[in-house]
Amino acid sequence: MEPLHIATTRNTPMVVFLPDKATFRLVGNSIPENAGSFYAPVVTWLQQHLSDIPTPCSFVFSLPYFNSSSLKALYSVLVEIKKGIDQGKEFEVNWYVEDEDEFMIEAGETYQELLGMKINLITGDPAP
Amino acid sequence: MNMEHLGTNNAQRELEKNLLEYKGQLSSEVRIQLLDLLKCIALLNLGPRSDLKKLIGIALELLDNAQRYNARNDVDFRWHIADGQLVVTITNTASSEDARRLMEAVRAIERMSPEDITEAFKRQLLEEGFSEKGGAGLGMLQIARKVGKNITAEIKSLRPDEYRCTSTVSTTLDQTKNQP
Repeated sequence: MEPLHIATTRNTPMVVFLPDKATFRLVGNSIPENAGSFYAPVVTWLQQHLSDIPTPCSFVFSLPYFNSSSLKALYSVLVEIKKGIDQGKEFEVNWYVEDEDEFMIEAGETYQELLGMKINLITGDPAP
Repeated sequence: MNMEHLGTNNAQRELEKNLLEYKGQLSSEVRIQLLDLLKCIALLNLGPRSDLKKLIGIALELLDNAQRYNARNDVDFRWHIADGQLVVTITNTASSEDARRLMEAVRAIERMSPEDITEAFKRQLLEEGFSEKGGAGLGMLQIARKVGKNITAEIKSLRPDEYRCTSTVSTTLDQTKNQP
C-alpha cells in the first residue's frame, strides 16, 4: 500500500495513515486558501486504497480550527470513508472536540446528518 | 478633577481593551498570525465560552474571503467588542464580478429564514467542486448560521473593474455561553 503522509504546516493539518496501528489521522488547523487542492490527494489515496485498508480502522479527525472550504473538502474525505463502511468495512470515525466547543460539535453533527453515518464525537485530544 | 475627562479616558481604555485593528497586506501567514492573536484576545477578554471558536470563525471566514477575492492583497480588518456586541468589519478591493457576488450573497441571506439558511448551507456543502479561486460558497452562509441576518455589505466603485468591498458582521454576546 502506498504510504500517506502529509506534514503539518501552520495552515494545514498533518494527514497520515499508520498501517501498523490501522489508524488514519488528520490533525491540526485546516485553513488553507484552497482546501480543494489540499485534500484532493487524500481523497485520491482513499479511492485507490480503500479496499486494502486493514480493519478495524479508526479515522481520527482533530481540527481545532478549520474554514468553510475545508468543511466542504472534508466532506469529500468522509464520503470515501462512508463508501468503505457501505462495503462492510469496519471503520470508525472519531471526531475530537474541545470542551463543549459548539463549532466542532455542530460540524460533526452536520456530517453525521448529511452522510447518514455514525461519527463519534469525543471530547479531548486524540492519543499521540 | 475633571470627571468628564476621566469618563472619556475610561471609555477609551474600554475601547482599546476590546479592539483589534489591522491594515495592510493579507497573506496566508498574516491570516494565521491574526487568528493566533484573536484566539488570545478573545479568550482573555471574553473568558472561556462554548461559542468562542464560532466568534473567531466569523473573523476567519471574512479574512478568508478577503484573501481569496482581493484585487490588491491589502485589507482593513477590525474586531471590536463593545456593549456586549462583537462587530467584525473587513474592507478589501475586488473585481466587479466578485463584488457583485458578495452583494448577491448578502442579499440572498437577508431574504432567508434561519431554516432557509441552514438548508442553503447544507445544499452548498453537498454541491461538488470549488470555485476557480478555491472558494466553497459556504463562508457567508456559515457566518449567517452563527449571527442570522446581522451581515451587511457595501461596495463602492474605484475603477471600471475594481470595487472597494466592506463586509460587517455583528452579534450580541450571549451570556449563557460563558463557561466557568
